[in-house]
Amino acid sequence: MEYTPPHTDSRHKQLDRALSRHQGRPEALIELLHTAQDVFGYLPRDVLAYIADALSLPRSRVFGVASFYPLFSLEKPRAHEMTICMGTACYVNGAAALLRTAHEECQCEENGTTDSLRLRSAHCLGACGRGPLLQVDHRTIVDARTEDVSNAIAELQDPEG
Amino acid sequence: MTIEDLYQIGALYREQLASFRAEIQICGSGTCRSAGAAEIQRAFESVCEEEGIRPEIRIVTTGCMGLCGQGPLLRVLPGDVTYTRITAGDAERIIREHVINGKPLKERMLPEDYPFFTRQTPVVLEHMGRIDPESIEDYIAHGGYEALAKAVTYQSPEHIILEIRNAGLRGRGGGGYPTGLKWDIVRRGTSQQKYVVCNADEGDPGAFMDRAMLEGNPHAILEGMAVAGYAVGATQGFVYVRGEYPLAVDRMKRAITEAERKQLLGNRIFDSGFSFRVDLRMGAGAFVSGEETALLHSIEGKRGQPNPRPPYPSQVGLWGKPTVVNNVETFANVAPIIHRGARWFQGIGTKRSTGTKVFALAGRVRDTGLIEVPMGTTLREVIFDIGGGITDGGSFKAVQTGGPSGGCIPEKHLDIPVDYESLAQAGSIMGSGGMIVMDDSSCMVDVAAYFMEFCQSESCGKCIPCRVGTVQLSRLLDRIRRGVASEQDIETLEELCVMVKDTSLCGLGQAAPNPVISALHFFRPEFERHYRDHVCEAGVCPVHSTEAAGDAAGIESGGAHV
Ligand SMILES: Cc1cc2nc3c(=O)[nH]c(=O)nc-3n(C[C@H](O)[C@H](O)[C@H](O)COP(=O)(O)O)c2cc1C
Ligand code: SF4
Ligand code: FES
Ligand code: FES
Repeated sequence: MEYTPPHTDSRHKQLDRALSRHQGRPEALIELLHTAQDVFGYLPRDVLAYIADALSLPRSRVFGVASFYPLFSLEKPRAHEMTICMGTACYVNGAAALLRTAHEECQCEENGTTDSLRLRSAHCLGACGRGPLLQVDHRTIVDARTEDVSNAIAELQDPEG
Repeated sequence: MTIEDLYQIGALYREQLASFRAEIQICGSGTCRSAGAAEIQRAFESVCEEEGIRPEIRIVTTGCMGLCGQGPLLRVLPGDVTYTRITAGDAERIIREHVINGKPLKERMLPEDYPFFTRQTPVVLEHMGRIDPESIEDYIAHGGYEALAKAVTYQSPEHIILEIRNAGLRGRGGGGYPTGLKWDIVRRGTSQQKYVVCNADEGDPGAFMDRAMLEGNPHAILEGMAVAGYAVGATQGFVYVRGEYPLAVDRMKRAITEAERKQLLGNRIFDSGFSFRVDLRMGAGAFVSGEETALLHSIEGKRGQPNPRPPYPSQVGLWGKPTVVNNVETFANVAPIIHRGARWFQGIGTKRSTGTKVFALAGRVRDTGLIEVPMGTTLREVIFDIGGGITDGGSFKAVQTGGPSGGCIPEKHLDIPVDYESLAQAGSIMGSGGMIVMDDSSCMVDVAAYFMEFCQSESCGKCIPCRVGTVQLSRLLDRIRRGVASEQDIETLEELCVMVKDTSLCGLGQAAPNPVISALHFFRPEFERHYRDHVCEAGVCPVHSTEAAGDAAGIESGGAHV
């Protein structure tokens, strides 16, 4: 199946610009995946196929690389994202309790999703001085407590909010 | 660009700085940024506007000032007064009383002799938290790029390598391999094309030294890389930055562009015959990709999985060419050594571990943050004198160094000096600089299980001992955690640790058992309390009573997931 991008979609233009900047060099694969994820919010399968063809790489290689790296997401993002840092510094300051609370209240596992929310745990968000850390969409909460998790989930899942 | 031009840029910028009536530095790095630094900056700017003094005041966002746990931090110059836990609401008083009326808020400022700072020896962090990381001129005004100028103008590559060797600089990414030796191997390589790679993947959870340096002083890293390039004969460098650090990526990209614009990177640097370019590559969340051979695969656009070594990257590296791979902090030590000489550097630290080491001090310690101490400083000095002891007056239990590849050090070894050999003797490693302090609220079985689960989830699956071994080890540790393990399980655990250590392909698997081995060595009674008495004194583990234990064991043999 040959995939032709809908050229009316400006997001594809961004990807195409990146492709031509890298002149189809296969070593640019990871950078292009970053670009595609920035542009589309995740890596749709047809986009992966398109990149594979543009770089003359087997599609299996492109899928293999995309699925190897945890930061690449092959799944459509939810409206909201909650990340709980489970890095060592946050862990010894009680991050596990935050994650448990989140599991219970979203009724989903780590890296699981509800209709409106994706719950992730991270190894370290690089701000270990004030752990545990909680990230809700683009907001970061330092010295987080379980109430912060509950409140954030209630807020996000409230259809009015 | 000539050396004279460089001096001129520096002098001009210093003049500009001197023309301000006062300067407000706001920490905008990791922890402080998360705690709201951007909003604080806007508040200070608008109060200065209101007071009509905005043009006379320099307001600048800096890198990490060190004392992250008391952030957001702010410093006022002249006078070098540091304020902690700043909010936007503090702007008015600080501007009116301190900046305009010259009366610092005594009750809010950090004492000048605060031991967190007075006990440190900043070398790579010297300008961190003081300069504007987005201004190449500011870096130059603080002596930046002079080492590069000196190197390419007056010194031979051989001389530089000798200087680095004499200084005794060892890799700060964990392994401690002598940097000069590594450079010498690459220099002797006969290939026309060679590479310099900066490992900024920083995957150790709970460590943020490299992030802080990338965000706070990116040019220092670029300058070190360029000197390395000149010394080994490389014309191309790569910085491989952890994908989770978007600000570090932006700052580094900006620094590269600025350095190119000033012709400090590019063709014929300082009118010498030396040309050097740097490109940035972003990681994508795989811890194992920080291993050097895996990192090179990732730069080549492939899955970041390791290869067996030898051959080492210094012989067969990026696209098969001789390649220097060094850590961020290793490169950040280069310009100071070229500036002040090997003899000066040797004078800091111990005989076999020279210089300083940067640590990310975190966990259950009163003052968390980024610190730099001479090698050979004791753990006790770091945790109690600099860090101020345990949070909330709790009691010290262990300090973890080296992350998932390291170990936990108990109270009785707190007086060992922090150097490569002593830490290894105590069953841990120096590692890249993560230092996590634990008190009675941590259970050592749980911590061992935590690290094993980390290694299991990060194992790339290429070799069986690591792929299967880490799963088995995790299961066994989970059984102990739940209070359902037998004496036999402990024996199996210990045997398996040795097996995984000895037969895994790369450092991840080889070191994965370390946290378990060291926990068993120092905290064996705590393990026994779990599987003999079904008690977790820290109250962390879900240990079962004896009756329930049977049930849980039944579930386990049915193949419960880990
Ligand atoms: C699993 C694994 C992860 C690693 N991650 C890093 C890292 O994030 N940063 C780093 O500098 N070195 C890391 N290393 C060490 C590198 O392989 C390499 O030794 C180092 O970059 C060399 O630089 P240095 O000599 O300056 O320390 C890692 C090693 C292993 C086995
Ligand atoms: S030791 Fe583990 S991480 Fe390293 S190559 Fe083997 S499976 Fe991959
Ligand atoms: S361990 Fe949570 S931010 Fe580093
Ligand atoms: S991040 Fe602000 S002091 Fe470290």
